[in-house]
Amino acid sequence: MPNWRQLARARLGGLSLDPDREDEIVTELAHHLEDLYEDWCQRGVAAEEATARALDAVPDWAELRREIQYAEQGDDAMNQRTRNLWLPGMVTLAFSWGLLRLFYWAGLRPRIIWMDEHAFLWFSLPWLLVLPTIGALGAYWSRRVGGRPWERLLAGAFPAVVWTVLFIAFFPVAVLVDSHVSLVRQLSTLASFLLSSCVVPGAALLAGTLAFLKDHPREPARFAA
Amino acid sequence: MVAVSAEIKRGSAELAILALLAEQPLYGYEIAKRIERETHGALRFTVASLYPTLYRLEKRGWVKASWQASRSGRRRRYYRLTPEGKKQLVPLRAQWRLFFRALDRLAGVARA
Repeated sequence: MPNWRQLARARLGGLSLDPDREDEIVTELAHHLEDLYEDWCQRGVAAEEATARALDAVPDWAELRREIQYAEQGDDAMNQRTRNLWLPGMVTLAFSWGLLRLFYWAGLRPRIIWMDEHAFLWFSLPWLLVLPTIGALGAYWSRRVGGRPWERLLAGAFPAVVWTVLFIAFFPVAVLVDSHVSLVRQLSTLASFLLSSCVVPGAALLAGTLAFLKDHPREPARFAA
Repeated sequence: MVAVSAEIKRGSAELAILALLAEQPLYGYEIAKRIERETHGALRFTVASLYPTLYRLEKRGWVKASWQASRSGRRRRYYRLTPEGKKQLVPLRAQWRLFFRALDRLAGVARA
């Protein structure tokens, strides 16, 4: 007979709950799998096949973990989104902007490369070097509270997303205000802003999130008991 | 549309579980088997849908669980309906009855 508690524990991973409650849940799920296994065995299915069929009762353990976490936290979808995305995203945003300001204050000013009289590229090497860590923090936080992979990705890259949305949203206003400047020139300014403030920092932030996109811990081989 | 579908699924699962537990205390595996048997396989609860629903109901105080020896002598976590759960079951049944009647009326119109 497989060790169902061990199998369930390995697949479910950490629930970030009180250890006693977590243990109770694992035990209960293990009993369910055990009952399924015995049902299959009684129907004449071989032990190995019965184990596989019992485990098939949970096609996605990561999803089950999230659902249990949501149920245990006892809140609705809006609160889940706040916890999984908005909160870690806002922290990522605050850290990234705060650090940029701090570097500026410390004299590590961004380097500016003028493309023409309207468009310029800027980059701050120390800031770009720190951004992967900030992205990782956002993704880790989101994963820790049960965020789905896309929520972790977005939480980590949140500052770049905010910049992108702001630039694009205010672009029509800029076009109206600077109506004497040609549209082509304004578009090239927007493109240089997007590249410096969104694309490059976004890539650095995303690099940090990569380690936290997979569910943890990894599922062991199917029959590892 | 997706949200409505998820809500319907969740709501119907809660009703099915509460209605079963109104008859007698049961543990998770028994609940899944009973639902499958009594609906002739039309409704099936997987581990992934059953336990989060049970924990949600427990969190709301509609069901209460305790470890007890099952008929086979093994310890299982039995769920029973609380007085609050009993109170909630009445309007829940009425809401679903209304929902199915409305759907039935609509389907009848569509066929006419």
